[in-house]
Amino acid sequence: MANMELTRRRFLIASGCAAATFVVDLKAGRAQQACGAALPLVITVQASGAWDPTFLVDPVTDNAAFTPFTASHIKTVGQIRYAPFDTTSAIVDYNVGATQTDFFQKHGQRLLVFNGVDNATVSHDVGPRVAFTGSTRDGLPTLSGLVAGLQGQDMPLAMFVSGGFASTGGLVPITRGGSLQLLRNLASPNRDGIHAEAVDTVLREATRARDGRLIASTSSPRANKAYTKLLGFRSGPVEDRFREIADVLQAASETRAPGGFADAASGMLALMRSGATAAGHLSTAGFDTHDSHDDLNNGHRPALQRLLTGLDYIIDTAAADPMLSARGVLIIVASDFGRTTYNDGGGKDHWPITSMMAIGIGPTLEPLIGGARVIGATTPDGGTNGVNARLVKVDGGKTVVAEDGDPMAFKLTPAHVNLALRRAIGLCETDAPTDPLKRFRLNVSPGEPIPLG
Amino acid sequence: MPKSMWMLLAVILAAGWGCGGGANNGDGARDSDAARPGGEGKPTPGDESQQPIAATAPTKTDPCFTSEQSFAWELYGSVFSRCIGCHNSFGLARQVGVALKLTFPGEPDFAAKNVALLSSYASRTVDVNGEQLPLLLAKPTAQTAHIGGEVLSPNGAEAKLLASFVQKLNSPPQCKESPPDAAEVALSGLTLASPKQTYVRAKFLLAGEVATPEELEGLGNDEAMLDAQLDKLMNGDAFLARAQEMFGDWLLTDAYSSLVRGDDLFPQLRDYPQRSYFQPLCTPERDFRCCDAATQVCCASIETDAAKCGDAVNDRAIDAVAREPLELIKYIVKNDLPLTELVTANYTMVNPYSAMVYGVSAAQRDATFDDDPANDLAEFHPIQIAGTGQNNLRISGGGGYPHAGILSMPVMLVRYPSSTSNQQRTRGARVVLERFLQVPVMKLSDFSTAKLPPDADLELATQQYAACTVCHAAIDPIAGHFRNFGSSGQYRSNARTRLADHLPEPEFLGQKLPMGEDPLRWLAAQIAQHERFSLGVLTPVLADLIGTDVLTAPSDLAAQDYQARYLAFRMQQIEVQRLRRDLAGPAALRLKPLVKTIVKGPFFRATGAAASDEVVREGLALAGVGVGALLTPEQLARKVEQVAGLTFRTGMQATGRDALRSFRDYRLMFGGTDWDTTPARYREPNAMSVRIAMRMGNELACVAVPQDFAIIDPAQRRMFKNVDLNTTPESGGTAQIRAEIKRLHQLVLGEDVRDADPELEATYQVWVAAHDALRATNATGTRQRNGGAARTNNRCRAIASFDAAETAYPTATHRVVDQDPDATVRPWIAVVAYLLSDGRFFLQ
Repeated sequence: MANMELTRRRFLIASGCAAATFVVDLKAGRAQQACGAALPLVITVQASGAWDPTFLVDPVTDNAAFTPFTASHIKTVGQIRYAPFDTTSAIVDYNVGATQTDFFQKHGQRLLVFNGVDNATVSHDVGPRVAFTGSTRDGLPTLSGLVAGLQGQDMPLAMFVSGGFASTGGLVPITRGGSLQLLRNLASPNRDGIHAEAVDTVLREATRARDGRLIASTSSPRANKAYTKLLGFRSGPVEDRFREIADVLQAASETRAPGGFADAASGMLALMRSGATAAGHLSTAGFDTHDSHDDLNNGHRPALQRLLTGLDYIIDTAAADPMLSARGVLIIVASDFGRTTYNDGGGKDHWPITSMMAIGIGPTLEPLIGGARVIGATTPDGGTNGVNARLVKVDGGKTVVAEDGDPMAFKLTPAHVNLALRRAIGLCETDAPTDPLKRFRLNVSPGEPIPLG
Repeated sequence: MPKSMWMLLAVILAAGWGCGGGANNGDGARDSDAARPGGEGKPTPGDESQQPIAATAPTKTDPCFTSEQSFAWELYGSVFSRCIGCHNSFGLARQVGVALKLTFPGEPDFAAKNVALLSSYASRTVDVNGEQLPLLLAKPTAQTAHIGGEVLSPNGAEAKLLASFVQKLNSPPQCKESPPDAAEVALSGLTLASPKQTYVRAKFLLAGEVATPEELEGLGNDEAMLDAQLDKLMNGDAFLARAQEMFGDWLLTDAYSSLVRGDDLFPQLRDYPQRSYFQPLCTPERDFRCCDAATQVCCASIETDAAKCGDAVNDRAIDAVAREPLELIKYIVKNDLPLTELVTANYTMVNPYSAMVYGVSAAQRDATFDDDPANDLAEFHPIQIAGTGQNNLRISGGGGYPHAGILSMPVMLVRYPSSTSNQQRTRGARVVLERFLQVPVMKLSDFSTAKLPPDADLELATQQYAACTVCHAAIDPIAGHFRNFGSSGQYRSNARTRLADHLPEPEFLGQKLPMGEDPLRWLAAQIAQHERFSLGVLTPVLADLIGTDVLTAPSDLAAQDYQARYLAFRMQQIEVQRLRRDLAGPAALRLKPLVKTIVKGPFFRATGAAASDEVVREGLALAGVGVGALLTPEQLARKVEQVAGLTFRTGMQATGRDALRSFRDYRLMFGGTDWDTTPARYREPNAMSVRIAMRMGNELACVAVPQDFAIIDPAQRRMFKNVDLNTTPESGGTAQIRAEIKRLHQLVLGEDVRDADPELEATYQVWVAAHDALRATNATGTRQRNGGAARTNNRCRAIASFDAAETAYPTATHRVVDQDPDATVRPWIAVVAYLLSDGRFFLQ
């Protein structure tokens, strides 16, 4: 974004015409938003602890070292092959929502799966960082954090976080989320008419004046900085924004998100609807299954079920909301890394090769992101401990699996995925010397973002 | 820091301080200036990301800095913090026998030792394409063979800075005087709080208690008073609880308390079949997390009193096990024992609940605990666990459980688990290296499996490839000492086979585990004797009391805020070194003297700074000097209770949840931790925390003001001792109102304001404005939402006690307050809300 001073008014104007601001890149073979277009809302979702894609979107079959599945257990939607939840007595899918519909049949057309992604780490410290920022280094923002930072300067709660790894690269503060009820109270601190309106006005003005005196009277840099923040958070445009937010939150549905995200997801979506929040990061745990991986009560698959159930809620809610849908919502699902074959204890250990998913919601994003497509692949043969990533290459405007020995082939990494998604939503570096994207470059080979085709 | 700034500071100092001198040249005196445990966030060539190149990135050392000063003030962050990842005495350099082992930051004579070592290499050169390059430059730039590859870009600013430094090592500067240390200058220019002000702050942060105006009236204002009062504070139980909080955030074991995920703790205690003892009996409807009377000893089949068993009692047992490390902290501090006891204690702490879970024999329990069941929850005693018929501990040779303080506690071993692939590394890295020795071993290097051959076995690679051994050489020998403990802590003596064959034998910095020694206890003794132990244990205490993390040096020379961050790091290191010297010396590794040293030091007491330079001011703020961090939600909850006399509850109802301590409400939103999925506290004010303070102020005032006025005897009230419901300006009560406001400023904000202070006037005007507005409403009979004109809001009233009993008023001591005919209750609600939402109330 060349212009960092994106006010809410500009944002609303921009989002209203967002659908018209993407272009078809014939060279890339797929549409992408024009540079500088209104950014969608971005939600990063962390399957915390390292998920096992061989049990979900990169299933291995007829190989007991990896999974209990046979080829007949596997279903497809578009290019996506996916594993069921259970095959003990009958094939049970990952069913979600009130109608208990197969997640992939229901939402597959919104999905883009990346298989054979090399996170190049087996450390829980580094894994989420590399997955969501595209780099092993400290200090870079996640894609959600970057979007929050770029357009959240006048958003009071730009980056909403509920657990897991989150970073905005220092561009905007991180806000920890809460339930809708709590958020309503916070947006309107005098909710329930604790003070008469006239008294509330007096109180707010007095508080701001007091903040100003504290700032003026202290020579302590730390205190000065803190008091200045307080004043900023309860005066001027931010205070005005909270009044608007309060109205939207008051009208929001009380529905509590099921699955792994609970109150946080509903609160986050309501804040996004209100214009207070540009991006979010949610986390759900239970994936670090070094033992009892296949336990259907407490193992890996219940964790996957919770993840998909929560995603279903977010997708349905966002898709049904005209404002969110028009703006566009991009969800990126990733994990620390992948998992090995079974160990002696019936568990699975750490393995760097993994998968990622992108989900596009809204008329702008669905053509860019969705289509039940898959980029990348793995093979279970030859891997020392887990699946091997097959190399990919860019060919004819698409990212395709390369043949062995192809000199143009490269290994798919989170940096490729993040860079491609940045570009797809219109994040392009400008010539402006202060453009934050300059600070957060992802330099990979090939240097151009890979086509999401 | 740009050279121009150094020059400016030098000029300032020359004018005001006197220039240079020995105090700024001595390596010993400077050992504090550049300490840093490890090299965090080191960008390496070829990494996917890069920072923008700042036009001002320095490429030469200051010509008048000594070598030690340049190392500490200019080079360490951007250059040597990257080298030390391998070149240290813990890891790769030790393993492969490289002599160039740098001293980690934080250790005595850090700069002098490192400069002496580097000087011995400074004159060595190698031929690079026909040119003689200094070895110290050619190696990290990979212009000659280097196991670590290219660490610095040959043409980058860091390499140029290093070249300049090597030149300085070979040709020391000839300046008459060397410039002063900007970090020291900044700290020496601080304004410090008076002893009484310091006591007010310390009382709350050490004991969770607010100093009342009446108490302060009787205190002097000198250092002797402060010393005496601090001693008194630290002798109370409240301080013991605070000590537990400090170390609780460090150990993260409360993740397994009943508040968080306690239900996951007992299923992992495989050595202790009586872990199910307190649970309800299994039934066809409940066959999970229950006690099976057919195969287990169950409380519910023994006790006739059902209240002694069941889920609530089981939660007590969970907490007894989960908080065992924190009970050891409490025991150590209470008895003024050295903190080495944390790892060397040959006992553990149990109460009657955990003793039952651990299968402690009836005889030992009888000998340990009293007969009073009422105190069981808090009745912790030190005991040694032994194998009994009620547990599955496999202890050979008639020995006992190998207690090694917290290292051997079941909850630690569950919180930091092992596995067939992990091979005890989490315990070695997270607990021993990162915490007790303050070596950030997981950040020594930017590890990437991409640097390995495609067919590498990941496990074997840990011992074979430099990309792995840079960390594993430090971790694995230490991890091996935990070999007798299983994945979730199950103990088997002599379980060497639990470690894979390719792993190294346990050793600590080259010292082999002696034959016949218990591995963990021997390791614990080495840890306790290591000079970094004092750094490790002071870290959580300092971080808690200044409200920010202990920083690592920034390494990104080109980052816009590099200068401020490096300065902040160096300021902190001055304080850290002061504390370390005291803790390892006169304080004899005891907590109370450490806390006193912090409280009396510049970071805790700073109220102002002389510095005007923006980089220096930003450095002071980043370092955590003075007030400015959010209170933790637990601290805020205590402060509310101290000031208002009641708990901030959801829905403004006596039966509501504890809003600041409940994970369903504000606990995490206000920056708290669950020690699990959100392990770090957030202490910087943000929009959410400010809104919480505003809402809390309103809700709490609404409830607390009527409740305080409901107390008939003014002397018994917390807030309103000088006024009553009919005290108004019209009735001649102006002086009383002003006096009460003055008292509230002291009680709520800790402000000792004088009579004519503008703050008193401003608060008084809030009262008057609210009073006038409400009187006007009363006069016109305008009805307010949720209340009549002369009535309080329906929620802002006191008709029953605000506790679980909800005793209806009036009583002998309380009256009903639900009317406001004189328009006084609501103005006081406004004033109290104003004070509670003030930064000085919710910032530390």
